[in-house]
Amino acid sequence: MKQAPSSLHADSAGASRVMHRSTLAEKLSGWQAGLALDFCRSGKKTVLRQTEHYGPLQTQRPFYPEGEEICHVYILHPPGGVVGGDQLEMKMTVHPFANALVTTPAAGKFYRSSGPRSALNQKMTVADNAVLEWLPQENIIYNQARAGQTTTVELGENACFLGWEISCLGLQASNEPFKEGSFVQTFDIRQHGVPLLIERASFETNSAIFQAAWGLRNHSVTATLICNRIQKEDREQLLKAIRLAAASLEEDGLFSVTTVSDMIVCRYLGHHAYKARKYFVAAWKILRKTVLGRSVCLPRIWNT
Amino acid sequence: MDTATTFSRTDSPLASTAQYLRLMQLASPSLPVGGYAYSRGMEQAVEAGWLTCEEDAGAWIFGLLSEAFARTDIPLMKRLYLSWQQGDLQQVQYWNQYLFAMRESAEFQLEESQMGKALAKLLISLEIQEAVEWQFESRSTFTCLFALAAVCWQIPLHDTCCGYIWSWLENQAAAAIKLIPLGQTSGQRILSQGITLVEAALSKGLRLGDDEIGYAAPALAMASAFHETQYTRLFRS
Repeated sequence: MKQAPSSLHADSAGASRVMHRSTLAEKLSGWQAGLALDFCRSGKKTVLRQTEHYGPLQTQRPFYPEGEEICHVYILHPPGGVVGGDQLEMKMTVHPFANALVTTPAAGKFYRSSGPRSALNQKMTVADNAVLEWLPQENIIYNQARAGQTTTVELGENACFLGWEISCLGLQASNEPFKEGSFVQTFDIRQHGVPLLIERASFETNSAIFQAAWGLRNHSVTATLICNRIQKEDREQLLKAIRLAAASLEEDGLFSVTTVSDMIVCRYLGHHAYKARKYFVAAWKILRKTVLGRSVCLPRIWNT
Repeated sequence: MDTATTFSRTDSPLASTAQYLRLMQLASPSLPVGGYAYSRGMEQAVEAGWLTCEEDAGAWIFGLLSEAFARTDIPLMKRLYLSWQQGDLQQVQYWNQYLFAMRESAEFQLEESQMGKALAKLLISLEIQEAVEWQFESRSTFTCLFALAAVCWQIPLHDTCCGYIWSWLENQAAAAIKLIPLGQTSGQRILSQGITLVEAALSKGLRLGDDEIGYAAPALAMASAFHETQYTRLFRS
């Protein structure tokens, strides 16, 4: 297996940048960054036609591990993560009949803020007959972060979105739970402007949600996977197959699957992001086969 | 808990005996829309051992009332009510779809639409013609039709929300009595304590902006999903 480009390893450099950023960038009231990606079908190939960007959000050169039909892209979050006051805007448009798979090489980090809120807005448009697989690594929300992440998806006719968000509240390993601060995460999926699924999760200082039986139940990782374009006749079989696959993992943590507005929705509640991903990859394998007629092609960056 | 005293009514209180009684009619558990058949995740929560006593049931109900219900159902009830009042059917449709999209599981969506359609049919027989197109609409929501009835019967917004909360609260207490199980007195204690939280929940919910609506309750959403395949059930899916 080829070594991933070294510029993807922003993580180790990130640690030293954090100190620097939290003192400097907050004074400068945060970074403004934007990125717009357009995926277009050209003959059989999906090309990344246009990459506009300002600020530190970037992509790697696209590649085609499954052939030219499906364009894989890694999005690089700002090195060192998001600090108070940062405003990040990410737009992805998948044009008719194009196929895109987008992931991130490292966890997205939302750092402690002494005051200003930061925002990461992810706007995705999946045009008629297009496919977007959005498979980012987890978000880590540090204690005392003040941040919002909004993911909006607009679907065209026969468009397919298969995506997830995995969020870790606090750092489990170093025993720094998320106890103070504010993190608001929104998923907003619409087709032709009609809301199909709207989920707004909000985690604030002293909220009952952290311990409540109906809330996080003292878990720190919460995750949601959504996949639309489910044929009616496939629905029951998909639900069964995903339940079975999840049970066979014999992992701890809660995993559920249901449908919302005819879309498959999987949820995880537990202590580990990697377990959430394990569940979701199992569901993704099944969904990709049935909904897209493809086997999975694991992004190799996940292994590094 | 929010300070209840900061909330003051913005609309006029119930003016007539008829309005008062209409509210009781609408909020009654005998309203034939099948509300008693749903436990809203509670049956699975009991099955999973999350709720074993009166105290657990109270914490479940009060937490959901003060957070999820306050920040989802109340602001949407307000928007649906105002849209009906203004005769803005496009806005009615939009907020109805919005509410439907916020129900976290197949079961919750089905409950909403079955009760919504049942209420639409009932309102038609009570000569509320606006309900006609909602009786077959797959995304009819109970909340939307409840708001329509309240507007037609001229029940003020604040009272409408109280009635709506009450029908939810009473349903949840009744479910706890059956499921845990609890005695009738425990149920009344839950209702009594719940009542003390309503003002603050209303106050919170009514002042939210459009982009502040919604409050995900992760384990509730999952309990509902699990309930869809629970082996033995008293309550519907």
